[in-house]
Amino acid sequence: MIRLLKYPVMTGLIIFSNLCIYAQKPDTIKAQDTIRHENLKPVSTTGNFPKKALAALKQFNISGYYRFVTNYRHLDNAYPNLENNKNNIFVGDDSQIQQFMLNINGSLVKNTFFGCDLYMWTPMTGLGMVENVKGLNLGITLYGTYSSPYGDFTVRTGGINWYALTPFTFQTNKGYNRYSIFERNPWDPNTKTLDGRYASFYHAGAINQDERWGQQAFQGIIFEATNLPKGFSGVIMYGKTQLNGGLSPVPNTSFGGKIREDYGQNFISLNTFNSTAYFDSTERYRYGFNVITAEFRNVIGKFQIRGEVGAGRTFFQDLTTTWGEAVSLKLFTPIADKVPTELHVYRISPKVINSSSAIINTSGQGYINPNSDAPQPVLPAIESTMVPIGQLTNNRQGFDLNTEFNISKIKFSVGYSNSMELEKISSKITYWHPINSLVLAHFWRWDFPSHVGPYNNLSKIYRTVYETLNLTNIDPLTKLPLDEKYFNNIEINAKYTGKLFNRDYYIYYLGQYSSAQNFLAAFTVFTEKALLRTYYHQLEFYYVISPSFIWANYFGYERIIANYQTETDKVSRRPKNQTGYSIATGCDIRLSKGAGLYFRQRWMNYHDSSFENDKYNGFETTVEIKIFF
Amino acid sequence: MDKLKLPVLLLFLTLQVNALHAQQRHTIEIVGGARSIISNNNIKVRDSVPDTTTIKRNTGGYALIDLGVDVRPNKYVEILGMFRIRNDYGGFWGSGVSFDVRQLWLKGIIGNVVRYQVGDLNLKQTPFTLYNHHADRIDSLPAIFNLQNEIISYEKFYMDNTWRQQGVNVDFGLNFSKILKEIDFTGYMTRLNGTNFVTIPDRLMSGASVNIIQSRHVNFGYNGFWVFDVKGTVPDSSLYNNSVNTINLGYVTDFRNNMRLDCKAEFGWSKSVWSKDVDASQLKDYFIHAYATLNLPKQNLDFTLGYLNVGPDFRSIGAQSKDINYAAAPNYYNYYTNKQIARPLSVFDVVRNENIYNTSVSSNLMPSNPVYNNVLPYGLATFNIQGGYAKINYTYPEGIAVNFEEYVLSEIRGQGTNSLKLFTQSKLLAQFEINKLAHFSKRLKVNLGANYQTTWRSSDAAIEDVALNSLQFHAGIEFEFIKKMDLLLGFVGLFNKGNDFIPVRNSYSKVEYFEKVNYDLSQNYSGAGIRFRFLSDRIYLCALYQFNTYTDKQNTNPSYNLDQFALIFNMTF
Amino acid sequence: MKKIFLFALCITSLWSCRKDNSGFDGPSIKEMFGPFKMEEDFKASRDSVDFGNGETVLFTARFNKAIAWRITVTGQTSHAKKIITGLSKTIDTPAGIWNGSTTIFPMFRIENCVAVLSLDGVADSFQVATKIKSIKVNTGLVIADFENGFDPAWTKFVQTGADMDFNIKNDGYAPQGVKYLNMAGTVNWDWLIGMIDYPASAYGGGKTLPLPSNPDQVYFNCLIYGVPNTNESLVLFQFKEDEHATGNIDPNTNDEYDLQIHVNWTGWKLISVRYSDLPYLNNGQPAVPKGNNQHNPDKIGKISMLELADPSNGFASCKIDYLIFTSSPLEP
Repeated sequence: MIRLLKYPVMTGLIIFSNLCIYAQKPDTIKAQDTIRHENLKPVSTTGNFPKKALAALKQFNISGYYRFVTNYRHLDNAYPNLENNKNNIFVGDDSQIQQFMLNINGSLVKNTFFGCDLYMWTPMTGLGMVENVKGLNLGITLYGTYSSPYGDFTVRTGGINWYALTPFTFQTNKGYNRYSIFERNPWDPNTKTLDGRYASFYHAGAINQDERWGQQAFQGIIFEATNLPKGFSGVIMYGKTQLNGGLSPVPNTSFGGKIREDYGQNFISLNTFNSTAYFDSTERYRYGFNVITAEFRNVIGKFQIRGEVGAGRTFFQDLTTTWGEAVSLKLFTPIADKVPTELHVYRISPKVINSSSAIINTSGQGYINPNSDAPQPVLPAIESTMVPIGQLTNNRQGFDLNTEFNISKIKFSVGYSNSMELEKISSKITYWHPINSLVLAHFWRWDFPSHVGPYNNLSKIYRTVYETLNLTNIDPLTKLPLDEKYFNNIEINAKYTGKLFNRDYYIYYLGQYSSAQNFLAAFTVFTEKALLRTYYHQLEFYYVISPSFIWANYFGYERIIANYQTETDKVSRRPKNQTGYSIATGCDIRLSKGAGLYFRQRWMNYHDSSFENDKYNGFETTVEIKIFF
Repeated sequence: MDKLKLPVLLLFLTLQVNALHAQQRHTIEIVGGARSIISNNNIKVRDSVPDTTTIKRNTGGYALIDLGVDVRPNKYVEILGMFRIRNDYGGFWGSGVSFDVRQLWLKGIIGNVVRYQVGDLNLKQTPFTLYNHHADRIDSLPAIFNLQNEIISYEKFYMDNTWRQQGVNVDFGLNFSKILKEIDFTGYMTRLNGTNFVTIPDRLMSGASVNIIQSRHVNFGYNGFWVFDVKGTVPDSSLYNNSVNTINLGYVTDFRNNMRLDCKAEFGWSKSVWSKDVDASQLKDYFIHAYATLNLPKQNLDFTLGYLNVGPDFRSIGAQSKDINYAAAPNYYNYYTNKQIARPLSVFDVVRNENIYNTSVSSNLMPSNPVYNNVLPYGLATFNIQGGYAKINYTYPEGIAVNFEEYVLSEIRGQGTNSLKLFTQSKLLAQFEINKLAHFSKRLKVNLGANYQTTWRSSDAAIEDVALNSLQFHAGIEFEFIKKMDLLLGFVGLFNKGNDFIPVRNSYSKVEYFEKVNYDLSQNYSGAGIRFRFLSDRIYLCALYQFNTYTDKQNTNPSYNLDQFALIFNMTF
Repeated sequence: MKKIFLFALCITSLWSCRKDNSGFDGPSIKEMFGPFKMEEDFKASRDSVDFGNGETVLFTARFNKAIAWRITVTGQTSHAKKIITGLSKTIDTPAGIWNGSTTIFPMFRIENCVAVLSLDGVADSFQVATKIKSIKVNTGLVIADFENGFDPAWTKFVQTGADMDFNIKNDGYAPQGVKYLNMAGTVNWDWLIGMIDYPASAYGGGKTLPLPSNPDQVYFNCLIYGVPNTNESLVLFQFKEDEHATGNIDPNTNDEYDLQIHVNWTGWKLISVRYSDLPYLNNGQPAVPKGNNQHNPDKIGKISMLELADPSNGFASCKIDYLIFTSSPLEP
């Protein structure tokens, strides 16, 4: 037995007397971080894998912001839905709920990127962790570019991508920069200097806008080709707009694109945008639209003419409308080299329905897939709507005149609009309440209900509310109006800056005077003859007490008067006669670089002297802290 | 001396800053990738009654990001935590968003000797212990199909033949100057499932491999694999134990003209025991696998002859788990026809549907599917099989690779009869890189392949007879028509004809029943696409269209066509 | 060459290790796919059975091949059913054992029963009769079976809505015994229709229920009947622990665990849930309990049973019976 064991034992002793111990070649532990033995051997074919290091991202960035916003609202008189909640505390912003936003992007190799925007929000109702919200605001985007002798090619997939083609195909209205800047939007940036927001509105005519300004949300794939031979470029997009949104596998898709040729300062492009949604799994029921346009710009001396001309149609199951025209022409000239003036002429058929364009749909029930589980945050107003100058609607033709001029230090931006409907489709007029717009929207948190309020005629869309007025001069059988509707609008935006006690101050006035009537008029009708008159006055005053403190003030007044050809109250038997006030004050405080505290206190009082229940008054206090990094 | 003070101090400070900078650079890195897929699918059911129930077209997709934070606090430790953020196509403003932890592990080196990893592991041993054989996947798949196949591998953490596990792994090596050259040791322990405290005990899986390299000519080793239930984690339960012990041998010798003979063998034993279940018999058996490869470098040829004998009761769950779970719902046209019956899987699913693939090993013997593999459904670890095989491999350095293999096998123990089934498999794979042969720079690659399988049993009782033939063939082209931009074309055909008896096994893998099947199936799967590669082959944008027909001439299930248009933007390493 | 020979010899030496493979796996195909034949009649081991004393009935049969089989035992009075299925060549222990449990309610009573054996692909069926002398006894803590009416220690609250019927009934619907609790009514201003508190003092006089401390070994079971063509009811059980055995449960310092059941089916259904799987629900959403955050079944001081329904829906109705704690899922 001992003899049997002798050789193995001796062999073992010999072996182990000569051994040296080493670590195998490291895999993901980087070679430069590891002490390597000189006798490193090839890695084993068994065990744990991978045997080599993971490649690190070439580039990785995180940016974002923290935005804390809270409202306290007290109402002495409230709408019925708030009767039991006259005092309300709300932490967050229900339309843009992210409190903490992280924009994350990385790159694996040159010219390719991916990114996402992660948000967190705590409503602070006392429930703690269980109520906290996390998610992606816009989603995940992948981006790649390729440059070749034939052109540069870019692809964006995933989403949401903010993108625009042309006003009639895929874009939102940019307007003429006539608005109030007292209330802060979730997407408003912190300017480099605290008064930058107010100074740039005076000097440049617009505050710094978010990159999404004028663009629409799109999810899917966007393929762009630029710098192609002979000045050509192009875009192809396929996927979903937010009206196609939802996780149902039933097809609900949009596609579009354009081919553009640039020559000198001029260009011409052919554009299209199309959407098809199916209501059922077997595709027997469908709904959608097609829009085809040409857009151009031509510079002739001091004149510049630009515009978009095209056609659109809609289809529902097997019924397809004929093509309807869509024309928008703008002639721009600096009169006497000092007064830039633009004449805008347009005509858009009621058959052109594209809710992903800058055109508000006033001719149908809107375009939304009933199968879609997406919210409807930006469904535009339907029926005949009174809109700010520059906002296009279908079933309408008209012209606008816009100009800007200075008198001493006062800067004026003036607009005039005259338009009419093409077809008598709607027996309703819709209009807005800009004076207390955001406060009113806060009356309905989280969702976007229609036909609410004490008389079921208010509808919320995104951060505002519109009201519907019924006309009574209608055909009793068809319920259609007997007359066409005509719209007039005048807008004046005046801006002034000066110094008080050696400190800068800014004064802005925005006046909008509009009317809708059943006859053609040269100017806004200020008499009882108008079906509806709306007058909005907004006066703002900002005083830069120090580079870190600005005193902000606001006064708003609205008068809305309808005549007896519209629906009257059953008790008072009088038509709408609405008056709204708003007085607000507040301050902007610079906390540190990139960090600001914004306080707003608004007192409001609104009532309709004809419709007794249509009234509210009270105040809302808003505190916002915003920090970018 | 004082004159030197300032320069020395400056130099010292510079070194300090450099060192700090270097440390910071390597302390934390971000790894990961991203992918976006949008697809538009269409089904056409060829039923006698028109299908007006199944959703005809199906749009879907997602975008996802895998973000891994790779932390190295010092040169001996590395930690990786990877998040997955996914956004389903159509989800706006936060809907359809999910967050997951994709992987988390810690690894390091102890005393410059023992390497360890804790957390997520990707483990592999030998083909009879722990090994993901991918038995039913099509080898050398054309690129137009392989793109989605590779996404499955990424999603399921397949690294060649590994299985994803969670536990701990250690390995180290010993180097010798006499008699032996070196010994490598690998050991791991993972958990297959946790206890529910009542009926399911904690089940652990462990393994160890010792590989001894005696010289350049001789190597041998031991591999152990054990799966066992932990006693006491549930009250009074039957405990399962599966152990596999194998020895591997290798011998290499050179002849004249650089000819080389490489002999390899692995043999071992397995034992499966259920401690209390009266229905379960103890399963014990052995296997032998040996082959010799003659390498003729001058002729660019390899010849291999092999012998395989795996006992009917050989059980090794680490090697006999299948990557495809045929019982899983594909989550993609699960049901069809007006009766909404379960849709039979097609090549289309096998190639591109990650929902039917497993990440980890299964404790129970998974069912096989004769349509996709009737000869070696569990790879080399297929039990109850014996026979030989031959392989010829021709590799021309400038762009030709041809591989042919022939398996001739038979059962060892009959299934429902004393008569034994005979199997053959003839497989041919060829790849031609024409650009290399014709000496031009842009990629032009042609793939061809075929796999013909036969299963045959002849018995005194005609009812026991089996005759099943399967032919799978494929062809593919990759053509770089513009720099970095490839045209991809491919075709896969699969035809099954004949009959067989599929064993239905209980949880102890004992045959309880036979399901009689008759096939007359034909499947055609074709695809075309354009791919743009961003610097790396794994970062690409591809638009592809694929068309699949599933025709069941027996009409056991109604025939159908599936087609798909997909846009894939993939960024992974 | 010598080394290669040794190499081969080493491997082939294993041949002798394998056991005899002369048999085959599984049932004989020849038999399976040949004609069916009953080789041993379908029989019951007893013609009368005393389930209450732990007796069982063993059904047996033998065929010439493995075949899918189904035994349906039907109570001739209650019409309760027990269904046992299998795929085998023989029916024997343990598959063929019936312990008196029920598959389709009501539960079996003391009655005559008929067991019918049906076989897959075989037109004929086979039957035997047996008689239940005493019914199966389920071991556990019965909270309520309503056989003796309302316990005075329970607290009942019923809203003053329309068509309120929150009463114990004896109308043949009872799945266990002869009585059950009906919970129905229209309350158009509140979710709550009615509720019953079962205090621990009603079960042995202690401040907590006499249950084991291991929450993994405590199951709560009940039988609920979904009334066809009515609005969905929500039955909510609140298990309120009295962690300090004060007899006065402070909801801010004690754990509560909840079981919320959407009654969206028709007929009787057994609900069985392990106590350790119960979450604490705050307004229907899982939340962190307010006590020691540990499931302590032995510290349950009170169980509240609430019948809820959406007030905008109108009338809602369901029936409930046999609330019992057991150590494993109830096999009624």
